Amino acid sequence: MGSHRLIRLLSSVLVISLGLTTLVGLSTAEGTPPADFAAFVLSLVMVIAAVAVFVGVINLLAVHLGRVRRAERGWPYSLLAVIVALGVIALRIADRAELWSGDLEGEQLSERAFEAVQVSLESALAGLVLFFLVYAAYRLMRRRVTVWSLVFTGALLLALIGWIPLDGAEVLADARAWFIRVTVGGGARGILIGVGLGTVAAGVRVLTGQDRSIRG
Amino acid sequence: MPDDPNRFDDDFLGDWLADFSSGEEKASGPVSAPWEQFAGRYPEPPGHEQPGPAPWETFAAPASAPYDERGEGGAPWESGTPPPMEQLDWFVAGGEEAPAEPVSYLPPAPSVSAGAEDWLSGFGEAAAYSRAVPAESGDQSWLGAAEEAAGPAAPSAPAADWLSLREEWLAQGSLEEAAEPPVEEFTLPGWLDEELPISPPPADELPPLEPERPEEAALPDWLDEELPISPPPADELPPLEPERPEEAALPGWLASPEEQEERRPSPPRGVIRRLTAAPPPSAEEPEAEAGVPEWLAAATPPPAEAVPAGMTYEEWERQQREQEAEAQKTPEERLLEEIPDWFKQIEEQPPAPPPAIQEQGPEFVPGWFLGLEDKAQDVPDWFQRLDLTTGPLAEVKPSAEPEAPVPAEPEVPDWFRAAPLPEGVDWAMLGVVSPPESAEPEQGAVPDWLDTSATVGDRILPAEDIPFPELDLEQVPPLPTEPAAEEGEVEDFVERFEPLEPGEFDQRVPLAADEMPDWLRELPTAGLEAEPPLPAPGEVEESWGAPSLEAPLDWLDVFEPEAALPVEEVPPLPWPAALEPEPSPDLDLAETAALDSAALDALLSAAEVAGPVAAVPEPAPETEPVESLQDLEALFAGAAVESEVPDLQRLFDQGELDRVLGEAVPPEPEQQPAAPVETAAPPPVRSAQPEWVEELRPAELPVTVKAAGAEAKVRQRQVTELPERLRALRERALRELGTLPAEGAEGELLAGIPDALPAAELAIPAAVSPRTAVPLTLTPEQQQRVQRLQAMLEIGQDTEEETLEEAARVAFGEAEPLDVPALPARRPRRPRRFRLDRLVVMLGMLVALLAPFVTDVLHFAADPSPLEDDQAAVASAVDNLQSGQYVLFAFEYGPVAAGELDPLAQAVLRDVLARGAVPLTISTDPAGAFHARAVLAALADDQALLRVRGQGEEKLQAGEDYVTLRYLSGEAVGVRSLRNVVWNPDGTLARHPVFSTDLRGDDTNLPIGSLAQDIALVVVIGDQVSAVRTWAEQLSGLAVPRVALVTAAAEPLAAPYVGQDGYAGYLAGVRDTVRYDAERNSNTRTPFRMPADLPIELPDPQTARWHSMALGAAVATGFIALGTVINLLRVLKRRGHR
Repeated sequence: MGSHRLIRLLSSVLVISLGLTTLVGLSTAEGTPPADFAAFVLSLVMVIAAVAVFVGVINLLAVHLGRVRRAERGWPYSLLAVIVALGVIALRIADRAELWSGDLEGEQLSERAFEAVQVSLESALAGLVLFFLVYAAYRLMRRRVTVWSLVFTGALLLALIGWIPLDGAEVLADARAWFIRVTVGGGARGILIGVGLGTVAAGVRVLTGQDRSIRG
Repeated sequence: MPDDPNRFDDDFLGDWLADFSSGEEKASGPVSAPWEQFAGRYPEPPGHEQPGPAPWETFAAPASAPYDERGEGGAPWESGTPPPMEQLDWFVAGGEEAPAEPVSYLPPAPSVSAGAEDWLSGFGEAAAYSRAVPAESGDQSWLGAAEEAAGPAAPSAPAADWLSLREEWLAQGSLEEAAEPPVEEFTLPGWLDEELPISPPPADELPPLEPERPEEAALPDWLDEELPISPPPADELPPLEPERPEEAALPGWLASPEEQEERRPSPPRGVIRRLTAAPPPSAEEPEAEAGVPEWLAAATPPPAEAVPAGMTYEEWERQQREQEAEAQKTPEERLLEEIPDWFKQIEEQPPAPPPAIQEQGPEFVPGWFLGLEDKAQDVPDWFQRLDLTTGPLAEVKPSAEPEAPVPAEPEVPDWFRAAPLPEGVDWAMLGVVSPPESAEPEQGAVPDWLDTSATVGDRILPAEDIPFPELDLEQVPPLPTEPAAEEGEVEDFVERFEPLEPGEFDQRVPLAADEMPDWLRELPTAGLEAEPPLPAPGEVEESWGAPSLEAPLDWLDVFEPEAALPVEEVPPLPWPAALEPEPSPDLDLAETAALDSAALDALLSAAEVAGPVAAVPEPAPETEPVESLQDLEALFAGAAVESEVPDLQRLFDQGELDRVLGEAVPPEPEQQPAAPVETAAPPPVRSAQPEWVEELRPAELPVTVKAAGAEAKVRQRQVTELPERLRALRERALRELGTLPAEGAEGELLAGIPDALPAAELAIPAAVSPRTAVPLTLTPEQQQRVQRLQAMLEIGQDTEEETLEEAARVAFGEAEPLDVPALPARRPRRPRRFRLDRLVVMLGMLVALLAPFVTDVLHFAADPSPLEDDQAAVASAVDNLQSGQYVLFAFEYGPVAAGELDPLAQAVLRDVLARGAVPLTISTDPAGAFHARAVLAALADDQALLRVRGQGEEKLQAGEDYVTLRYLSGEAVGVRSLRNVVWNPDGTLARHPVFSTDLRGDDTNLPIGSLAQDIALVVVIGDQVSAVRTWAEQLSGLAVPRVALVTAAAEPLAAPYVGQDGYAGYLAGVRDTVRYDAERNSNTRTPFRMPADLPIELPDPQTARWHSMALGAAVATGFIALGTVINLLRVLKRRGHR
């Protein structure tokens, strides 16, 4: 119990001290010792984040391997995921080792596999969203009609009609541009301001030791 | 005011009074607090929990105050230099709103600053009393009643200086008596001044009264508007007694009883009498009374009349109040709810001294009161003040001989027999086969407070029948509706009882057998077998529900008359007989956990919902003793049987069975048939029980209602009020108990208890082991849960390596337990409903998107417009690029947005490559970094581009013509790291680590040490605003132009970052892609050429895509608009049908 509390104390002290020094370094001119120290800390963070990605991949493989070993429900999918992951790693190693020959010489099969499978599938799924969105908007007021649903529908129709490039319909395009720039932009700025305030609040919590995630 | 003889020492005051006292020092000027003159007469501060009497009650002069007899201004503060009317300035304030007509008889008073009586005016407004009182009505009675209501002297004044103050006050008053002002000049006691928010001027500063200028008698608003002005008759004015000024100076509440006796023959007079000279409102003057506030009308004193000799002051006052109560019973009585709280305390009076016992007094004391004299200390205060000389009880003629108890009738209260049959009562549980039949109850036996069948109008008794008219000033204001009003009366009744504290529970002495009413004494035996007694002819003729105050309480007559107490021993009862409860001796209506108004309401409402008595079933000849007792217990909770009979109801009420059994006990929809009735053994008296039985009290202490020495327990929930599930459980338990052999008290557990019933043995199984009483029934879902729990336990026992997490997975379905039997098959899913509209929309959109790729007939869209504004800024940034410069492309998007952003990225890349710049791709998203290479690879062999470049290349070479940098970890931190620069020892810039290796980990050999110096343009391509924001924020202030390429969805969020410290411009979506390509890449992009072997001619895919997007948008707009119109019409049609 005592060691745990000591770890908490040390982690808190470390985080707060590094946070303060980084803040000071980011606030000073480049080339100054605080700025250099802050840059060093940030580089360290980048390395740790990269390692975290690697750890995440390893953990993903371990989880799926455990499911396969315990024959849990859906274990075939876990097995497929492990096989594909190992295959991509092997493919990537082969690409890096330039093991391909013949027509495949100089090819990066790992990149092709990524483009052929991952990008195609995700792009297709993203394309289907269009149909669902249109149908959802079609049935928007089927259950109930409210003022806000009418407003939403009106804004949607204005954005769509204004987007259609029609000759002689520049008015609609201008209206859409105005609508996006003024109304939508205003709301977006409000959202961004809220995000900025939240970020500041989170930083203050960390620097003051109020954030429990830094206590180990 | 040091010269004030009545100066009160602050040391005797409480803090709150001391504050006032100190505050008066600050009061200066013409207006000063009235209490400055009469300091020390403040009433005691009202308690927080129990408010004390109102100030006017404590210091108000009674109607027959002695100083009234001496004429005007008997109080010392009325004489002397200060004008006698100085205390009325609160009364006459607000003179600007005084009625136009001068009030001749009203004594004028110096005007006080407006607002001094805001509390009164506000009160009048808050009470919503109309101002329709005609000024010419002349009814001033209500005004006098307002002062009349001020009770006797305040006993709560500080005791330390009270005597001395009185002496001083008396002395001064006697000296100043000779200089009394005229009759019209009167003075209010100091208690009235306490209520003034603004202090009136001191006595010595007040201007003298000017009776000849009554128009200046400024009255408060509420008085001005509602005061019917009429001069009091001269004959009603009490005669002056100047020959006895010293006596007149002594208030009645200060005078000794002997002095009061001497003054009693004198008619009450004084300020109040003079103001209340008008006769009480009569029926001939309804309009005059209509506008009078109810609470004031109720307090209207009767006309002055001769006080009969031999009456004490309290008696006289009580008589006055009775007369006032008569006027109070007006149709506007419901307006009593408007009475402010402070006025409810007006009737708080000190308890009357106990009168001497008179042996020849009328014997109208209820028999149940006999033997309870020694418990006077337990009697509530209101009962100690009970005065039975008036009211219905006094009129009850004591029977010469006590009526013999009717043995054949089950001695249930008549009110119960007369009560209509409640629908929800399970008569089987009550021990009878059929509901009791007695269509014509004996009204005389019905306690008034339980006689709920009486109508509202019946409850309004004549004034002579209302012994305690002051109830109306204390009771809870009636609700607007009639039923609610009746409930309000009951509520008031309930609140008058003092519920027992937990420590007081069961400390009462159990009644002996001879102290109990006959019906209760013979309850178990004769009560169920005997025929109901025929009511007396006179009683039969009485209508049900009508309160028969004349009818004697027959169940009270069974007691011996010689045990009755004289009337004088009974203190007055402070509520009318209509609401007066007729408490039965030790009447345990039900056991309850707490006595509150809601509980008693529930009890009374249960009696109200009773149906006709004719529907009461005949008691069955055979009934099990337990059930019969249960029935009685459920209804009356008789004290004699509650200890012996196991209280199953209590067990059910505890909620434990409910929690334990939960859903296992399905409710039984139908009531079980009536169980056979069997003659029950006579219940033993409680005094015969062992001590340990006496101590076996339930944890939930029932609240006992103590009324006039009798107690009544009220149960919060009765059997009929229980949920169906609990009732079914109870019935089931009773059925099972009925199968067991009945045993007497021979059991070891109940040894020593006379006539103990085997209920304990029967009740324990139902309470302790519910499984024996109710078979456990599990639903399939519960069985499944049990199986999972068992599987979890088995996993933990069998395999030590299994962790709890794994067991949880098994339990919650993530893993299949090995030995769990197959669960019932899942319910088949409901087949999906075919939606034609959905199919139409999908097909329509699909056709709209694909058709432009097949034919150019549907190419209706206009050509892309040229780049403007922010889009043109992107082109300008690219135009500024020089050959060989590095352009950093941040691919901050994944495969999901590849379909929309890849063409856009390629458009800018093509333009950049065409200008000889070297694109460097980087990403904080691993997928983006990986995808960037594929995007650039698509341009590597574009001949048009290569041709434009003019470098004789056959193909763009990765690492040379473009570089795909590595994944930039750390997101914002990684982006921030791009600003870092590393200096070599020789003072030159070192290579930036981010640009040192490419995606494959090879050395890039890029001579980039500083982003600001070596990068000519930064292009951020993102589908999320977070990426755009990160790059804009982390590179803010860096002297590198930046542009953004975003999706159409992210455009509104990316636009705010376009600025001096952000992006120079942005391109969004497919539309800007086409526009940019059309304007910038027309010669760097090789046009698509259809295969020559195709039988049909297809449009250019790039052009077809543009038109496809336009047509798709148009069709989507049409569908959405159509759906909106259709749904709107449906909604309108639906509403039209409604």
